Amino acid sequence: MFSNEVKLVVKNFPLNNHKFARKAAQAALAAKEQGKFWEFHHTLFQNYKSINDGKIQDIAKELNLDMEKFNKDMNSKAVQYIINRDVQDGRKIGVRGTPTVYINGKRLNDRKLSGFTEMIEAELKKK
Amino acid sequence: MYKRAQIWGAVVFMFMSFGVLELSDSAEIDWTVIKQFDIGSKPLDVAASDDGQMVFVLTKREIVVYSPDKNSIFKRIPLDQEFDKIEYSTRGSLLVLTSSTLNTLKVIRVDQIYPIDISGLAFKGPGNASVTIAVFDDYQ
Repeated sequence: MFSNEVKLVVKNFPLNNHKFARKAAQAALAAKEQGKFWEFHHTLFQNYKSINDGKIQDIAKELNLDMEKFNKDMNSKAVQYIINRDVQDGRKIGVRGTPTVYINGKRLNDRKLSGFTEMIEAELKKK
Repeated sequence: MYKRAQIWGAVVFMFMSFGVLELSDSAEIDWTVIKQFDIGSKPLDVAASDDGQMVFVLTKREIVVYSPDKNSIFKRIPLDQEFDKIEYSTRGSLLVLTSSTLNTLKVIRVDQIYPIDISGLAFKGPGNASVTIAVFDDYQ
């Protein structure tokens, strides 16, 4: 459905009361550097209740990442910059909780499947 | 410990006894005029979006949209009929207009479009897709 017309992007918005959320975001972005963002992303969600430093390392090993590069990238300036930028972007436009969805820059209020399809269809009609 | 409890007790008592009275007696307000606009028509009603980023001023034939952030009028939404009341509904970002003379109700959805920087992020789907879904999310 819409696979040729729609692109999905995750903007990082780690909440302060989620202790390992920022580390997890750093890890996913570090995995991206080795072409495994989405695999890491899915595994993090499967383990969202048990995320900690050890779990993040375990996932990276399971995905056969180069661990030295992974740990270096996790703490790189580039990764920190992206997370800080995403958080600032979110705050600027009124994001308060997660997940908050924007479709072509417009906030999605109805998060049922029908809400997504209606908004996507409306955007496609404009093209 | 006992002394600390005594002090806190005294503070609480003071607030309970005088706090409200003192505040209402001495409360003042300060104000600064930020800007004044000539909107070109008689304002009939005003509503604001839930995030406070848009203020809608209803006039006879249009809705004048003011942005507090930009401190400017950045949009005018034309109307084909005359309405006299405007309300903003947070559910669905809707403007509800009513006309007491024509017995009509009109609903307009108003979406603010935000530029969202996705550089440096992984994405699923074609790079040149005409629709981008950006999900602000965390992993816990």
